[in-house]
Amino acid sequence: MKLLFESNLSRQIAAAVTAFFAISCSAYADEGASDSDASIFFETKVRPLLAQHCFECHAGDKSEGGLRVDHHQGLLLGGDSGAAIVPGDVSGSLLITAVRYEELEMPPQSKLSDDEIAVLERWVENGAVWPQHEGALAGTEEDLQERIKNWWAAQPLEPSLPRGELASAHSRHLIDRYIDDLLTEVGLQRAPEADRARLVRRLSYDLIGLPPSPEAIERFENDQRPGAYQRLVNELFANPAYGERMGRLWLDLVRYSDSDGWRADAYRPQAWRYRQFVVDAFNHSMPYDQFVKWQVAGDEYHPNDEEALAAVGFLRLGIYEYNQRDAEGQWQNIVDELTDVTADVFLATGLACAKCHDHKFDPIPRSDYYRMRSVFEPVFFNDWKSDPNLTDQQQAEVERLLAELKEIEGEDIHKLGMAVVSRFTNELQAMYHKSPEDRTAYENQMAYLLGRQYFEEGISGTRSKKKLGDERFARREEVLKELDRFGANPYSPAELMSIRDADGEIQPTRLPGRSSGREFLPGAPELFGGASLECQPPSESITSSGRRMALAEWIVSEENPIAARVMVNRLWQYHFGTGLVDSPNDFGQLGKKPSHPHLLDYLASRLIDSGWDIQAVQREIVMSETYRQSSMNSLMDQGMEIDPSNRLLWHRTVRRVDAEQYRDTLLVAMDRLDYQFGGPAITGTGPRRSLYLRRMRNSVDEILTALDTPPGLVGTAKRDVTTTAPQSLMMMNSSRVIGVASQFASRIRSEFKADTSLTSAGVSAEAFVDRAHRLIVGLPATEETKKLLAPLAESGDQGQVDVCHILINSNAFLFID
Amino acid sequence: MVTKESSSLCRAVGVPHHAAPLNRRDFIANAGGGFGGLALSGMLAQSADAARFVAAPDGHHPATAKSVIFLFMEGGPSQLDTFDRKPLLNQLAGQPLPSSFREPLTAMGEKNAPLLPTKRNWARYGESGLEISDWFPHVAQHADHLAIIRSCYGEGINHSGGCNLMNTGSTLGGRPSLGAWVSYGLGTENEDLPAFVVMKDKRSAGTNGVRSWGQGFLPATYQGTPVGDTASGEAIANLQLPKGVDEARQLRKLDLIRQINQQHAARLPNVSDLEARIESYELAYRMQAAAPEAVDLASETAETQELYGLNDKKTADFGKICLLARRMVERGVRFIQLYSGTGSGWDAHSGIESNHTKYCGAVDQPIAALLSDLKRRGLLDQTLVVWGGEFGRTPMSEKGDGRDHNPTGFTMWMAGGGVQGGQVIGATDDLGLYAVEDRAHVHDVHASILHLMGLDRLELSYNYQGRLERPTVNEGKMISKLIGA
Repeated sequence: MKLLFESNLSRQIAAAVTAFFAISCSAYADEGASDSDASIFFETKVRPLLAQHCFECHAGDKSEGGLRVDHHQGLLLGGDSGAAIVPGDVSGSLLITAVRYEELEMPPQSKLSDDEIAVLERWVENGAVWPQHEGALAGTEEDLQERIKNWWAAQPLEPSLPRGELASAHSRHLIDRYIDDLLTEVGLQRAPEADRARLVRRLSYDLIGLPPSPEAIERFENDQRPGAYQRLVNELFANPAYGERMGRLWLDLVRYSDSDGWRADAYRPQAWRYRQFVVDAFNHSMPYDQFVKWQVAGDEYHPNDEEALAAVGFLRLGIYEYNQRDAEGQWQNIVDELTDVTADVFLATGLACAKCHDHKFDPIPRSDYYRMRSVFEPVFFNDWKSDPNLTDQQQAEVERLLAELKEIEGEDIHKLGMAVVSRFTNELQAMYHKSPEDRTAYENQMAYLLGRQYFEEGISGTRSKKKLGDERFARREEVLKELDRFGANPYSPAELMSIRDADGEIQPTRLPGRSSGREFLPGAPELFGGASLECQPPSESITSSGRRMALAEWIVSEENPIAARVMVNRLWQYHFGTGLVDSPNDFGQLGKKPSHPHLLDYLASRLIDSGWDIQAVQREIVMSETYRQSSMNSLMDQGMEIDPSNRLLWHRTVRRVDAEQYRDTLLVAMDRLDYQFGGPAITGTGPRRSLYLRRMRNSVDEILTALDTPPGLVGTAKRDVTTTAPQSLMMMNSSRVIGVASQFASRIRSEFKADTSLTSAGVSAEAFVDRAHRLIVGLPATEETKKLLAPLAESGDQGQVDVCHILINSNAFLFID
Repeated sequence: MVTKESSSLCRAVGVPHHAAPLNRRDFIANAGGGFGGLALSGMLAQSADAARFVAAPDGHHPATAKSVIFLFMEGGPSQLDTFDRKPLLNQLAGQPLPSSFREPLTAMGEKNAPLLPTKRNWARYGESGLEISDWFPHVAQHADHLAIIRSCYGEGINHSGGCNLMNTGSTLGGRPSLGAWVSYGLGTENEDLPAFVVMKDKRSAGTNGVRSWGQGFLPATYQGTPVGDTASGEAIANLQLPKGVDEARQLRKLDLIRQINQQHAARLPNVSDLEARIESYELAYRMQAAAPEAVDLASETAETQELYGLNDKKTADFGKICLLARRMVERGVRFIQLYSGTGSGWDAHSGIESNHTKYCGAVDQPIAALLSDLKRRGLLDQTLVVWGGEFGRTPMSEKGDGRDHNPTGFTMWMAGGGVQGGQVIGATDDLGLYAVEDRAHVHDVHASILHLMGLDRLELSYNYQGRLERPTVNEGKMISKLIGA
């Protein structure tokens, strides 16, 4: 580490690391070295144990028997029966005798395990150390309210106007005036506008993810009429590639993949329907509030609208595979994941921390987690198929085919399926065997999981074939094919992975492992008002609980200050590389505070006031002078001294192209991009945009992965940008990239051959270099570059391929400034 | 380390060295050298994200192991027929599990399956007298180096969950693998090779594919690099020169890339990422030389090759990667994971006799050779060797002559790297079904591996989405008996 602190680059790290330790030290404040083990023991063993088994009745506003065990004082003071602990005196501590069931018998539901009791004994014996965390919740209701009052993200939007008494306040754009306010304070100024070629390249990558053609650049450079930039912006927003670009960014966030992600990692043939929904939503300017509502509860709003049913597929994107004997544990994990991902994506609030204990840093009590979780309690996987809409005659034919199918199968197929079901516990089998209308919601959820095994493992093609024999199997296949024609094959895969509420009574949401005790009902986090959610079966969908709809309504309601902030921050990040809050999925204490709080609130208000129009906010951003500024500033030295990481935006931050931009540009350079919009994912590495390559969780694309495309197992709010030797090896040696270079070179050669003016002028090697450079970098080659590469281009085909390969490896291509 | 005066590229190609950019030397010093440094600068480019970096290149406390070789028996080896003898199992053979045992949830769910006796012969080995079956006669010779942990347990009841847990600390996907945490925490000793290497006994995806050595939410820099797993036969993907490109042409290209990138960087002098990319080609070039050398077994003596069983078809595949592992350790690679039975080979739901005879036979001699070889080269003291699978197997039979998955009580062992050998830690119940004494969760196993490498499981952390994520999910503890404490 020593080296790191000796240089410029390292000063940034040092500062950042120091900043980090300031946080981490507050977590373990006042710990002498000797207390450290005791603190860790408390945090890892004792607190979770107390939280899990005791807090339900003895914490927060619950103090049964007058006892609170969520802070040290509470235990020392004790309740109606006296002090709960006497530090150092194990057998004299009521807490211990109670958990030993020697008296009081706590917790009442069931005795703690011997290991757990031993933990408490050891803790009391060693003095019952309870570290006082400065940053952590002290646990009282007053503290909680105080901390909420003081947390910025919980405050109502406050878009106070920029001061703007400055010279540069002449900018027409409010964004610039907010930026200038802070720059003026530190004595910096924004950089001048970037040159037009760079500007069009920047904007094009940002809005459509593709480079502008040399011709488009030239057009823009030569457009001297007023409003040239505005026209360019309009053109790009109108391009369907805009939705593809924005869609890809959103897909990162919601852990999108085209496969199951467990062992078999099966392809999900329907997953693309969600992807398509997202791309279309951006292209059709779906208001953000509707975008949220449909993803959380599309089925409750519009149970018969395929697009809405595809949208709520958001809740189906997590990893899932049928092959799991522990169905109950599997379902717990699924519902937990839905709770976490919803809070991350729409609220940027770390609820997951509160799953096992009150959040240590943020004012998020454990109840917040379970109130949110209860929203998803009735969720049911809806493998949706469209209604075939048959005529009577067709219906009769279907009936006949189904009868024939039954005759062929006999009981054999069903027996195969049941053999798998019989591997589950007796309780689960009983749930499966109940008739659906008699099942509770939970029993229906379990029956679904068992049913998936019945179908996918029990009666798989291989097994069915073995069981029926070749001849019967072939006959069955024929009948199924016939049924397919009517859309009535009972075994055909679903058309949509969607969601609905399960039928039957909804089980109460309780702390893990509890079958009695405190019940949690849907509600907003305390941090954002803590209102109970009024859940009514939606008029469109009366069998549904309305819980998700109530949550969606609350997320985009006026009561909630955070949803708009979170989204505009994401948009800002898309355009600048870093959000105004540089922790896009965490607006809590461990996240970063906003660099420009008023600007953030202004943009959030704009989003809401524009009718949640995402493009309106984006337009305002890309029209601003702040966005358009050059990466070079004449005050570079002062700037690097004052704000080296450019948080105040005194110049454009240079950004590397991301994985999809890289690969898509290679296709453009080869003139091979197959610009086909939308549809199912493709296998292999055909020349479609990278958005359409199958994303398999267990086997990833070499090129995309080398450039940090996320694996899609958990949501990614901000991609890493890494520079590694294997990445350079890939760009130098991979046969795919070499193939690109070769086609790139042929393309230029054929252009020159077709272009008689060039040929007649005698194509020089320098012209080749310049054309290649313009195609992949978007700028003419510099004289130096031409000089360096011309001899290679001169040397013949192979040399020209090398010129193209060199440019594919150039930083001029890989970085956007 | 590249010096200011001339780059290895320029030296190799014989081009006169042109002026290096002014801040180039600074850059290299800044980066601290090696991949870790580069990753750091890459992350810095994302502005304040450097705060997420809480690794500890010097460790949190003195390490006893510099490298780890994790021998992963994929599919789940039976503890009952190898390292955990249960006389009661044979006494109760053919009977159902006594009602005094809690009925486990098994993967295949075969109901009321009778207990399957072990057919192994057992003996005591070494001064310590550890009891080991005749499926591991060679490894048994090293009994006094082994710390056999008989009380391992976890929650993954199927292969995917089990492999996730053993590799990443969670039965669900998405967290960084242990090797990724180690390379994040400690960086590499040899910047010309990856810090975390994965080798398999055959070219097959293996359970969970690349996720098993994935970086999870850490930057991609820290993921494991598969070695010897390419269709082309290259040691590492993209290591060989492209077809039809000779060394001189490649070097000319590299040199021109350097020059135009330097010209480009001159315009943007404060963008560290640009320098990082220029440097990454140097590293790539050196890796291109270093990696083939590291995997070239030609320099190994006939005696060594014989020792690892390279001349015997039965042991050659695993023997080869064991020998490669030793070479990697010598070259400073931090974390080496070797897969036996890639793709759930050890998964003996039926016919455990033939299955385990085959797989034990394939790994026994190579593992013993690895231990002997490390020892005679003085490397065993600083190299931690870990053996195990994603779970063990049940005392109840499956399909008459196999055993189902058992994550509730299974055996792993460790040797070298500061571990006190010749001891048994923990115990399962009388039938080897549940871990009952000194229970060691997979998190404890991970915490111990980290501890021996000088890393503290709580201090090693990474701020992901506002949560300080730690390799053992805030759980687990060092199994102190491993170091005789």
